[in-house]
Amino acid sequence: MRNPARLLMVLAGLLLLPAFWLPLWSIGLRAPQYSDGLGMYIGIRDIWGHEPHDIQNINILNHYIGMKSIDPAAVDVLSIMPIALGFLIAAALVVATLARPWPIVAWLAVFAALSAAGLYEFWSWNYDYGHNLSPDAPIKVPGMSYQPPIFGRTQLLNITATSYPSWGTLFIGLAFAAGIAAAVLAFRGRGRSPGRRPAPARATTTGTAAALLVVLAGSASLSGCTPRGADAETLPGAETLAPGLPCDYCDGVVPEARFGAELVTVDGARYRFMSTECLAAFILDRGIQPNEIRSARVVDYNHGRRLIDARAAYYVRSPHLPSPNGLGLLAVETEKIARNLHFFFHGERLDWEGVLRTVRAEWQL
Amino acid sequence: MTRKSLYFGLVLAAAAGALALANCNKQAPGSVADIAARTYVPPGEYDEFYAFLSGGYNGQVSVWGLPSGRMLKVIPVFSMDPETGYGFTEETRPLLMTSYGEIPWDDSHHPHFSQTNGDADGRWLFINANNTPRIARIDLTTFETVETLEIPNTGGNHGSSFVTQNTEYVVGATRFSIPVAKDADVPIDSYKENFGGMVSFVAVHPETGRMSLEFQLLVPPYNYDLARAGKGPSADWVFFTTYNTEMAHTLLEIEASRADKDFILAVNWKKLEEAVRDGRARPMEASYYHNYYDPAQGTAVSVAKSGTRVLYPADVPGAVFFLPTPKSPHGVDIDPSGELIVAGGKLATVIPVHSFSKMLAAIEARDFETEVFGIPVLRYESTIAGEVQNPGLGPLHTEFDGKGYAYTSVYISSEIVKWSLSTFEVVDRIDAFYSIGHLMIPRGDNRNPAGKYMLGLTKTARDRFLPVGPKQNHPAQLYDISGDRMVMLSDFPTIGEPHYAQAIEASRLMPQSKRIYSLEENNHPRAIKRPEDARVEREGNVVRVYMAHIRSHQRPDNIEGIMVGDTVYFHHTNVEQDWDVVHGFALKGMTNSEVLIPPGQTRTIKWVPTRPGIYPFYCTAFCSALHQEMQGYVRVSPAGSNPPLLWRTGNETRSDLVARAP
Repeated sequence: MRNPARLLMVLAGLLLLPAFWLPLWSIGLRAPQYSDGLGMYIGIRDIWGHEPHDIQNINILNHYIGMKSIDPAAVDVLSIMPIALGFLIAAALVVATLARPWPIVAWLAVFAALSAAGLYEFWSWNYDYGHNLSPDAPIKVPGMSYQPPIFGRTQLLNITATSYPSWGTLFIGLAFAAGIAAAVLAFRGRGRSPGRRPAPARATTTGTAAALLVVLAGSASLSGCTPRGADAETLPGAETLAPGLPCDYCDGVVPEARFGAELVTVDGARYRFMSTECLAAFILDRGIQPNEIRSARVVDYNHGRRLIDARAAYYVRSPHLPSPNGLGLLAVETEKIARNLHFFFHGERLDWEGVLRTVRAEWQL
Repeated sequence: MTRKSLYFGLVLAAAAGALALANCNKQAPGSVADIAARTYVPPGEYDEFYAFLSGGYNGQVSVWGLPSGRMLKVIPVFSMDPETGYGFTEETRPLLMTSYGEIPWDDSHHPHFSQTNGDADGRWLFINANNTPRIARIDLTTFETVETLEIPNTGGNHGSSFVTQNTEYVVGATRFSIPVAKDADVPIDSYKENFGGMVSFVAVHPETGRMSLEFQLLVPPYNYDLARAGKGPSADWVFFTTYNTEMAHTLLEIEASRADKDFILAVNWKKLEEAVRDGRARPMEASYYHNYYDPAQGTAVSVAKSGTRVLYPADVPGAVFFLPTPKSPHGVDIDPSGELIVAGGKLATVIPVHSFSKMLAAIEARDFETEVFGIPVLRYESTIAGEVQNPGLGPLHTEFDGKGYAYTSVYISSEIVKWSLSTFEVVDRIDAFYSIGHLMIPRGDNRNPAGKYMLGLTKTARDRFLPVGPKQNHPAQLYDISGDRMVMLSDFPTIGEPHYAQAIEASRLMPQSKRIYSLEENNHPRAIKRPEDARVEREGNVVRVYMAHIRSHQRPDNIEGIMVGDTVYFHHTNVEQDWDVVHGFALKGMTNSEVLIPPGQTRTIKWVPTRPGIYPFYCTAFCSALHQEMQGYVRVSPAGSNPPLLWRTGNETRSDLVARAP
């Protein structure tokens, strides 16, 4: 093993050090009343607010929907993770002194395993907070859970939650990249005759680039995997309308998995819509008769990702509800959920005929 | 018509059309749209200036945004405020204490910012109480009154609360001369023998802002109207206007308007300071109160003080002079350079402008006309720099734009005149609606005024707005003074009677405005830092309820064991640390007041129940989605029934039964 690999392993160990202090992940919450946003950082040892009192304020808001109070002292893994990180750093230094390629690979494997475990732990922590809701919660929206995403953005009632890796994770990624580069160099160096001078700079660059690619791909695949939560389990064979599909009625696109509608006519033509309003307007506009429809389905707002029969769905219309076309119209599967939404958001409850009437009147069709 | 001329005509027509179109896209200067756009602050955006308007007889200060004219806040100062509980809560009542007892009201006239180097520094706002002489200090990080100081030996603190260039002192001046001896019982018509005037120098602590009455200067028995400290070259001096140099004590409207000239009193405060240091001040009997918010105790405290140090003009030669000035002058305003002393002779036909350097030269040359009460009177011709001719009827008060112009409000002819500080000629005039008192340019009394807008504070609205009965609110008019001509932008009603105002760039105050009171730094001895510490305690006939407020409940919200005859103190702590999440407390039959508790603060309200029964209480501030559920009950038992104390929140019930067990 050549000196560059050794140095890279030392560098890998050092790069891990900032992760003791820097946040690994950042979750941001934004609501109409919180235009500045609230947020928290998740670190190796602690969870803290973007601003000094954010955790307290998040807890106060969360108690209405029955979420547990976030108390860093009660999160066991925060006492274990620093040990794991310390171990990785110590191991990196030991591996550097060993000067052999396979220990580097072993180190990388342990590193990857610990990272995966950490991410899983983070996800399951999120899942627990988002799903294990107090039965005494003042605000209960049936079927609603409040798990923030691992990576990306989601709408939870009035709150837009975003979640992204933070600076600490960048350093961890760089440490991993350094480790891979060290491994590449170590393997190459083994094949060379001792007398020849290698081209360390180039090798390092290539190795680092390769390593970075691997890390990026790894993190992308980790973040890309959608955890099978309760929603998914209760929806076997759920059909979806992918966000981004162009609407066949208006110029829009399906904005997110909670919205959208679909029409299949008896002649087999399939149309997709960004909203219930567009489906209704399309039917009214073209004068499509009930006997020409094979199926008309809308996305169940409460679950998202599931298409339900538009003519059997329950609708709530309220200026306080979001809908992509601005009529404040949402479809849900059961009357109970419709009643609940109506209780919180007021407005009116409609059936399919009511939806057609409303769209005809509002859009003057 | 030749083809060529046809083409030429077409081109001309097209050009004219294009020009017309281009004009359509712009708002014509002076059009309604142009004027409206100059005050328009789009939703979600901020005003350029904070303006602080005195409330006059409501004893408050109102805070406004300029140029929009949107009201931002009302700060109770010399008033009781049933909205916030100011003046009702145990923590704020001490601020209203005087040597005459608790006085829940006053007439607040002249707000003045603390200054550094002659420019407003945005730390504090001082304001005077005209009736029972006091000066208050408002903290501009919380926009709350934090201190009041009573001014003894004073008959009406009108010429106040003006600060010196670096806030070394804030001055007071008696409007009414009164007997010099404390609590003297003398015939009123012995005015000339027994009465005297007093101007006061209140030192301001450079870090904490804490005020202390440093010394007073005994002056002749005239009326003292307004004051201003000098700046730059004149920074060591303070100038006061006098009227009633006739020394009338009845029917002043006639008797005090006889003399052609009254005086501006010029005082070198540096020399007074030295004289006090040299022990030349004489002790004088006095009793007064100093009330201030004590961060270490989380509450305001009242301290009774006695005695003052008084200087007599004869003891401080070379420090006190009179400048003859026509006629019953109101304002005495120093231009940004510190050289010109502008008097608003409210019955004068000109605006006299004295020169500070000429004044110094005249003093040096001992160019005195005479001497009254041991004070040298300088010759008018020796100190005058110029007279502004044709200023209108009743010039009152002047501010400056920093670009070489002065703006004087003129009461009787109801207008504002703009005049040049170099030629003393009127260059523009504009109507005021109606009967303008003071005017205000943002930092228009500073060394570097922000001369973009001007606010005229007028006395009567009459037909300006939708009528609201015989008594209407006082208006203010906003003018754009950035151009050669003054342009009136808007006209809006205010609250109280704003006598004077101050304004400062929003960028100076916004960053320091506090969002919460830190619970960690809450040193109130009856604060509770955690909801779990909420409790009820009995000390003899006194029951103390330590109540926590947090969205959306009070803790405890069921209280039993109180008897008729008990005195109950509700110590409310808002344990939230979230901006603008305020809780309130109201209780049926509360003879005191409702109280608002900002995040992190502790506020105490006293209650003496007189009837047994169940008393509902609730949160008065719409704090959250379940605000309407934020409520509770107090049970009051008959006198002598000696029930156990019991308090409950949800399924958690506590009582003092254990403590009472033998």
